[in-house]
Amino acid sequence: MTVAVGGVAGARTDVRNAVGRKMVMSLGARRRWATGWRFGVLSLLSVVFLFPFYWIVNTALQTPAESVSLPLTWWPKVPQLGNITAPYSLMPFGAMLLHSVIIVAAATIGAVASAAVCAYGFGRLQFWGRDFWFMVVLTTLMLPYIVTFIPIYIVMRDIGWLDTLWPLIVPAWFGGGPFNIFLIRQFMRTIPMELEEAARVDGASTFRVFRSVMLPVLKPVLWVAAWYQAFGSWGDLLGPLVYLTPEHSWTYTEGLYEFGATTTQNYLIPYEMSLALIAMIPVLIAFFTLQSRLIEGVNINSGIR
Amino acid sequence: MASAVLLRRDQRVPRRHRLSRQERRRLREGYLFISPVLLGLVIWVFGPMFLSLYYSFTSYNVLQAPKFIGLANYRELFNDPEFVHSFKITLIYAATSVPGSLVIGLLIALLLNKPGRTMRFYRTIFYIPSVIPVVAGTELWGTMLSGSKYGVVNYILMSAGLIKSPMLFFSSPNTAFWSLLILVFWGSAGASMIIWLAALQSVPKDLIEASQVDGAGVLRRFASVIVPLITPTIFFNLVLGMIGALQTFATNFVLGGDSGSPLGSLDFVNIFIYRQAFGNFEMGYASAAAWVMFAVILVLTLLVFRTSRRWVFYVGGGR
Repeated sequence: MTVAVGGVAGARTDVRNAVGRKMVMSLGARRRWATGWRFGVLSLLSVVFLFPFYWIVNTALQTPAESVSLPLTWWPKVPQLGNITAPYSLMPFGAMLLHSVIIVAAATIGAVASAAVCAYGFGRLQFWGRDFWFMVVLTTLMLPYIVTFIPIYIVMRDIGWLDTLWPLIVPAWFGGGPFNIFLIRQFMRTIPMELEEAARVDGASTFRVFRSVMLPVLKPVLWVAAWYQAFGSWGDLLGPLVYLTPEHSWTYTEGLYEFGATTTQNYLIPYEMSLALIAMIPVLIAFFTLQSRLIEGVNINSGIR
Repeated sequence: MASAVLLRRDQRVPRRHRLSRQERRRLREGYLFISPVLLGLVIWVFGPMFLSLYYSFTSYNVLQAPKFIGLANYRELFNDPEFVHSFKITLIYAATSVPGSLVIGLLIALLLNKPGRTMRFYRTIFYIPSVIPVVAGTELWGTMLSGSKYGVVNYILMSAGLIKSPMLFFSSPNTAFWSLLILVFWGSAGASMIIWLAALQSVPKDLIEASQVDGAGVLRRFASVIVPLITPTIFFNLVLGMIGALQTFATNFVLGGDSGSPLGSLDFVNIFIYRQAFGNFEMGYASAAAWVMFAVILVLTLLVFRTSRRWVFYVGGGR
């Protein structure tokens, strides 16, 4: 590998040298040049992709004054860890966090459990009308959520669920969305039938086979489904915005939005960034724990054709 | 094995035939298992769809009962400059953001399409922005792309001498749309990269080698061997990406509130619908707009499916 000559110009110098040498290059040298070029571009791109993460941490730890003084601060003199809790005195973020945790937990459990049950029906049981209903479920992927959103809001209002967490939890218990059902069903198809047949021969009921034989094997894909639901519930803005009006009933994401929208004054930017950073952290932890499974999950999904 | 054969024969039995006990049990169990989603379809999909279609023909302010007004909402929509504008910029957005992030994702995937641990490391880096919650990511970019001299992007560009005064980004209707694309590409290129990588890895090695032996260059190999083989992926992503892009809400809402500021430059259809429904409480009008949107999504999807026969190539010619 050619060593970069220094600083940012490294990659470019590298390329220029390489181009000059190209005519007399052996195959090995040429391959090394290609590798160097590839890594140069990739590194440059990763800097662009990662810069926002550096910037949010940097800004979240500045004093409000630092964030609006030139030259900009590249790293705060004294990192302000107090910024993490400071916004809590301006808005009830503690309660909002609690609401979000309840919603995420309840919606995720419901979505995963019901999606697994439905996926088993669609993937493993044989009955009249199965494929038709599966197609119907898949077709609803095309339906814009806004079409059903307004009537559902009106129904929720009529049954007195406004300003409660129910509208953000209950709908998840009905199969967890077509995508999760599809995902789990697709995974199920890779599991050999013999596994269940052995249990069936022993006289186990269908539900028993599902619970004791299928569920344990499904674990990896259930985590992926849980991720999608939890990620969606945690980051949802429209739902809380419409269903939870008084400040004390908001979710964390809604609070984060309102904080950013109502406190546009520059001096609160470090607070806003620390709140946004906290919103990212659980997601990032979950992502790194589930990473390999998630990426496989995306691949299953691209296999739809 | 034996039961698999049995099952298949069962399915061939004509429907009028009296169901045996086993068949009845199967029917009962099957529908029991899929009952959550069937109930869900009725409660959360078909019921509301029917209601919303009905509302779209009414004037309904939530406080009084809906009043039937026929096609008036639809007529008004097409003469409402706000709606026409929303509609137009949403379509432009879908037509730019989807191909844009697909192309960026593809370029990254092509660079990464090599085995090895370093490549997996880069893959993670590019994918991370895709798992950042929209509100947090948008607020972060709103700060970085601040229209003042304190925004870091302006600061860097000015320090480098590329611009003299700060760019306005989200503060000006002329630049807000393009600034939006920057953060959308950041947040979505990684996801499309993953799908491209899976597609590229499904291209048989021997085909690549054969084309190399035939003396095809990198570009030629890409255009004539790889692209035809991954058309199903292109197709799939185009459809899903388009449906998603037409429904963008949170990003624009964080940046421009329920008016799609500045000057409606971020006033996408879902923002418009939200404003009509939950700002003006014009539920009927909002429902009509939602149905127009649905119709457009349906037509576009069918169009892509229709034309797909001409350009999507499935290995083995099946389906």
